[in-house]
Amino acid sequence: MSQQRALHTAVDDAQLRQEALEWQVLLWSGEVTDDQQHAFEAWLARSELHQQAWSEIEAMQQKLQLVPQATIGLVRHKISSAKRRRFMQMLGLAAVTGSAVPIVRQSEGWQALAADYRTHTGQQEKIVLADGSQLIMNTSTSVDIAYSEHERRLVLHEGEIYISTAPDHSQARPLLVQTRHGTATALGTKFNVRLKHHETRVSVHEGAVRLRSDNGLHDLTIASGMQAGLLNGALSKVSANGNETAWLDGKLVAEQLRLGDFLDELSRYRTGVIRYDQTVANMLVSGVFPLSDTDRVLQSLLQALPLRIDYFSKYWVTVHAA
Amino acid sequence: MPDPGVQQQLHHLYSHHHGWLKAWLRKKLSCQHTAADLAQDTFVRLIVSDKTPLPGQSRAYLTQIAKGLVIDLYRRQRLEQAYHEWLLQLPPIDIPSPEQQAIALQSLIQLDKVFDQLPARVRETFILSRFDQRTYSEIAAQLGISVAAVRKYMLKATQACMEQL
Repeated sequence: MSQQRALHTAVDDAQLRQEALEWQVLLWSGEVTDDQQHAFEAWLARSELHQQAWSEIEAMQQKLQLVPQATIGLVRHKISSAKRRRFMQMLGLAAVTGSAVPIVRQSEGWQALAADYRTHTGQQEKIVLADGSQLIMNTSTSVDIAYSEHERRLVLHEGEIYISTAPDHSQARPLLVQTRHGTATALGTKFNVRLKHHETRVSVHEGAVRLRSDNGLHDLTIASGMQAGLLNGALSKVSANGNETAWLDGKLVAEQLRLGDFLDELSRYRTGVIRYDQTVANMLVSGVFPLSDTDRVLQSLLQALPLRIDYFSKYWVTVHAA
Repeated sequence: MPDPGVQQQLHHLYSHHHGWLKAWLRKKLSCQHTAADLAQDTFVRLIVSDKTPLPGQSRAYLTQIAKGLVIDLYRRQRLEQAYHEWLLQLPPIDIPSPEQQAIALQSLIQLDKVFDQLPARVRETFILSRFDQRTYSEIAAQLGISVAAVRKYMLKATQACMEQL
């Protein structure tokens, strides 16, 4: 191709791109006349080069469409971090009312001094307690309920619960959650308690919760929007809530999470074991994943990361580097 | 490829200041891995820019680049969080695939950069049209400008999107 001709083509391309751009701006007006629409179609039908120029515009437009309107506020105005935290809390609360948790069970009345509730792996359950308080149980969770004249005590043996307390007007009985690490006492509130092997972690979404270590040495009131933990008989530092209650919506949220931590979290919801090589443990995962279908989540990881997944059986999964 | 003199200077900069820069970033970020990544990115940025600091100003120059990268990172994290908050509200069935999530987030980050370079009025016009679904006449009335001006602003913003999205 001669230099002259190359130059000519380049000019044509730029010209067509400009025309495509102008058409797009015209078509976005929301006030397109039939004549304009026909003129555009005639322009597009003129040559393959026209169509090529248009496809570039379309590619950009498709990306634009993937950006949710809800996130544009952040780009449009700068939002203070305090405002954002409040927004997140709002979402946390909205998540509970629109909860995806399926089954509701009514306990037999508070005269039943001890009740026992248990969920299996991958199961979640919502329980309305005798006083109207709500208890939502996450996967593999076991709770004893021990209401008495003096207190409303829940004993968390394993797993994770979200509690939304009802005020107890008749008698001022405190509601408290006991674990092997200590107790969390509700001060009129919504909160999440997760029991791990070495730690009990409490995140507060409304009101406040008083956290006290089993040995009685440590005591802390956690405010709404914050979380803290009991680890080895001591209190951890208080920090802002993240995505602790995404499980109420049946979701697992990862923000630059180590793949190892991600898989550990995922395996809570899956019968059997998920093993992974240390070589992949530090890869980072971001995204929102449905807890209801862990097989789908594992498959989707393959699209995002250079991994290989071996199934020895349905219950034994190993994740390697590709 | 930088010429040998420049290469030698870069080598000198790296060996004398990389460790210091990493420590400086770690104090700012409280995450060791991110600090290491950003220290690396700072040098990449420096090499790509084809400029080298004046003698005696190496650390000031490096921290200036690094500060920009830290701000970019925070900005990116906030956008990522906003996008995830939005995803959280969706019924599980409507959650886009991880691939689509990645494209959407990347587009949001690019769009944020595009908007940074546009005058406020152009940006607002584009958002009203593309995200608030207003017609050009409505935008003109709301912003108190002519429809021709709306079109002009839209051209400018769309052009910027074409270049960077």
